[in-house]
Amino acid sequence: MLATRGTIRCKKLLGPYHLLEMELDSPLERASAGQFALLEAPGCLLMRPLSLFSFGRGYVSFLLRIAGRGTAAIVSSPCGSQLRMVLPLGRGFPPPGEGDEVVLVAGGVGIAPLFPWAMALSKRGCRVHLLWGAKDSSWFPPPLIVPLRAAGVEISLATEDGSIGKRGMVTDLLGGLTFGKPTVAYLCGPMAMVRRALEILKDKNIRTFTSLEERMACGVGACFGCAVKTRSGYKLVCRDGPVFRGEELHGAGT
Amino acid sequence: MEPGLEVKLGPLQLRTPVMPASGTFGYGDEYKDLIPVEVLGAVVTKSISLTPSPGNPPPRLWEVEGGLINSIGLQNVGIDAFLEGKLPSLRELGVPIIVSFFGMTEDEYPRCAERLCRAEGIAALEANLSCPHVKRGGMAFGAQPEVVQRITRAVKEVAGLPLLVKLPPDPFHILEIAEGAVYGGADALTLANTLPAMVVDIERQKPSLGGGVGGLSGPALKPVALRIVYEVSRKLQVPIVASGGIRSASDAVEFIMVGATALQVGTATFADPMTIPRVVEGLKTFLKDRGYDRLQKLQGIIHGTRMESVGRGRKG
Repeated sequence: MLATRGTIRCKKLLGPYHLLEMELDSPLERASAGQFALLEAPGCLLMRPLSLFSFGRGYVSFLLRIAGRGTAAIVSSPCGSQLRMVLPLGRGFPPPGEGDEVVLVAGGVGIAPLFPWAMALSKRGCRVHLLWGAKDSSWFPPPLIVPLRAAGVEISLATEDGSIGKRGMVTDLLGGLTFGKPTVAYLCGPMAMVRRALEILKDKNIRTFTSLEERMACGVGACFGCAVKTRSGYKLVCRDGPVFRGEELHGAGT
Repeated sequence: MEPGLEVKLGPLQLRTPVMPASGTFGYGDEYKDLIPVEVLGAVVTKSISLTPSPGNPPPRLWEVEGGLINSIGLQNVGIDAFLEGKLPSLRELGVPIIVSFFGMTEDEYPRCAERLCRAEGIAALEANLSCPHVKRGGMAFGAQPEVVQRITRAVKEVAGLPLLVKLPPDPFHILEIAEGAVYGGADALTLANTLPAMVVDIERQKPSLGGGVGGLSGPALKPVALRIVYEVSRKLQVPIVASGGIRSASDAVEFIMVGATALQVGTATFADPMTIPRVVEGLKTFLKDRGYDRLQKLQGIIHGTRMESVGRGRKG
């Protein structure tokens, strides 16, 4: 865990997403997909939690959408701005078992933590099938799709307006899958999507992991602010998560 | 020569005057990778109680203009899990440990304090009197001078450790409340806790926080806390640990000048985990630049007299 500063080197608009590439003042020794950073939002009191989208020793990037005052302030910071950050935080995605097939289920900007995970797993030789749903075709910009395809990730898309892929929800794609081999599913998206996906995967003997978000202050488990309800009581997104086992959430009313 | 930052809170000696506020530093080891322990005067734990408490439903946090409203609901692991699971690693930090505690009822305060005093490695206790008193319709224990005095006395009777009493920031009654704590035997006062507050979701037509209401902390609280410390230190002779919106060394100096002996940094650690080291460094620079050899020379300077002696009761 590192408290440092990052300089915004590049900002790109990718369809409805903002991609923010930052150079780090101190080297990031290790991080894994599914972990997150707290990033200063200029003019706001609290830093904002953002999934690591891509990262290396000297850099980190974030894929985000404007959700409120904080993300708006981050996105409107000009190139060259220095922002405080703390990273890497939380527990990333646990690896699949030997020979497991991997299904990733993303809703909209829920692709952010799943993108580096898909790339990492493909590199390790895993068969990865990404199901990704969103409003319309603008949510799947080529700079995100092309590298995934090049890495050998199988991609199935769903859009609400049918402008690309299947018309409907990403969970409709999930419902249409048959699972022959042992499979692990990793999910990230709106809670309604997560709940539906867990319902579909229940009783199929599939291990599931979900990345969650919640309003956050300390990011390190000190303030108990980012609690979510699980089957074993309140857990903290920052310290116990952000990745949780699906069965912990199933029916917990999260 | 480095200016001296050592302070004394009654019998408790601290190497720097800055410590984290309870509830913002977990059980001490969450920030240990980031914050060098040498800068900490003490570690103040999250408030614990005799029985574990699950806390409030989410969302528990709401950022507002100039502050943060939290509705954690005093979630804590309970005293047994604290003594077994948390205290051993806290002791290894090599910093005085101040354990914050609370009771659901008046008599839980001394019961909890007694058990803490039997444990090894605790330097002092901080009684959190800002939690709601169920028998009195949820009004904070700390809102009523006679209750404050009774709880403080009951704790002091069983506890052989220095006792800090943390009070709510009631600007109109703070003197009576603080007197209650001093007459009850408090060794120091922590002034002050969060201010009761809320936010409304106008679309859903209900409170935004899962717990309905919460407590406001952060920069918005600073002028209020400053005046509270000023008022209490003017009238009562008791060491004060100031808490309320401290983000910088200059904030800290303001509190020292109105009479605080030590300082707690809370919400600012969330905005920047390096706040405490920055404040400590900034205090040294401030003193050095102005030719002071120790922090205590500034203490209460705004009142026209320095207050280095520590007694009890009202000042003549």
